[in-house]
Amino acid sequence: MRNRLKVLRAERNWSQADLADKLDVSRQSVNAIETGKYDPSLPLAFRIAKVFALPIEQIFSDDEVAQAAE
Amino acid sequence: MSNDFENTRGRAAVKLFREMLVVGFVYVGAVFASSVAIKMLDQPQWVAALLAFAPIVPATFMVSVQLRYMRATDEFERRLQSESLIIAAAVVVFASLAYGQLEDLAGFPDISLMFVFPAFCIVWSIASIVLHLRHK
Repeated sequence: MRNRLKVLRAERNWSQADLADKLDVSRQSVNAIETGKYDPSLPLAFRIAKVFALPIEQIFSDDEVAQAAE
Repeated sequence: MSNDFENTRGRAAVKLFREMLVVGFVYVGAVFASSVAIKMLDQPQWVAALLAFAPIVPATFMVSVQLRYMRATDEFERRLQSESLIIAAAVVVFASLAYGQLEDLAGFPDISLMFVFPAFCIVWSIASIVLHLRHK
């Protein structure tokens, strides 16, 4: 699964620690999600969407769908 | 900016370490006491079995401490801990099986089963450290 977490975070000038704070997870978790090493659970994905005030599909996308779009 | 979750997790980790230390000492003490009692006292086998299983009581507290820590962490940390546990279980199980074969079939010296648990803890700790360093 791909995500735009790093870009969205940069747009808001948030550090990984800032985002982790808002999501109530560790900074390592944010880093692992950003680098694609970890796919968040659905409840965490919803929390991420809520923090960025965006629909989930504008943050996360399926690898195959993203490749097809490219 | 401070991370409340990191602080919470840090506090949970410190609390876990302290509790684990206390319960660990009690467990080691119980194992030592039961070993001495089994060796020194002349009792029927069922009493020896009861004495040998007595340290399971403090061991259950160790499980309780670990479970509380797991519940206090986030889903990514839980995944790292699960992977560490699987690695430790696999390494210790397969190493035990291989060494058991060597003992039975190749005349290697007998090693007490008492070393299985410490070996598990050591491999679990190493696996946990390596996995955490990978995601630092």
